[in-house]
Amino acid sequence: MTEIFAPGDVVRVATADPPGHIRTPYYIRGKQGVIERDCGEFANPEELGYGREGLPKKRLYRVRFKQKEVWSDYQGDPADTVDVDIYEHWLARPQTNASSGANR
Amino acid sequence: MKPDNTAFSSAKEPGRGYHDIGGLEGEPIDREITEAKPWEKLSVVLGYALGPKAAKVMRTDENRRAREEMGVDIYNQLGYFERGIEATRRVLLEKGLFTEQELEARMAQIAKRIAEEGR
Repeated sequence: MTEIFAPGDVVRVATADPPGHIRTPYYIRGKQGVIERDCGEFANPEELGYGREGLPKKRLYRVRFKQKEVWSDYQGDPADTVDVDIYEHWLARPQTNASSGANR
Repeated sequence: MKPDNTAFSSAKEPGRGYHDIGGLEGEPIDREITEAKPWEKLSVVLGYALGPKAAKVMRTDENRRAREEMGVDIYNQLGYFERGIEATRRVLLEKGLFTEQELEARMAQIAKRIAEEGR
């Protein structure tokens, strides 16, 4: 059902703000990054948090973001990056070429 | 100044939990390394003992969820290990492993024993 991404694929994190226990940090929602690796499949923590089984498992990706694109006032090296582990249902291919994070 | 997480879940930032403070202005990090207190170590061991590889009573995810539900005032008052043990208390009460009255009675019993026997 869900597309499987490969290292190097460009993805955007959903801007969703659902209620409940979620592991996608607020600061990275809506940002665009690149798949660094496929970490494998894990029981879904959004379900496990409520004592459910967390099935079907969700694929977890390590996604690499440019610090300058995550923090508008970033003063460090433009090449600096931050890696965030994000579950598949939070990721999609960008719809447009608009610069990342414009909606935050 | 500590990061102001008291106004989250507002119209301005509806999806941001009070625990989710990444990127906010905060205080300098205290880098002094202190020895963990015995009860803090015990609280970590308790987490493993209750976990999926042992008693299968509480997962880390449930404990995290309970930390996010205790309310910002309590959350901000507690330290890291205190949040963990308070969340554990809440999850075990939810699951009906004991009642609040039973827990209070047991704590009073232990406090009395320590007062009388020193341990």
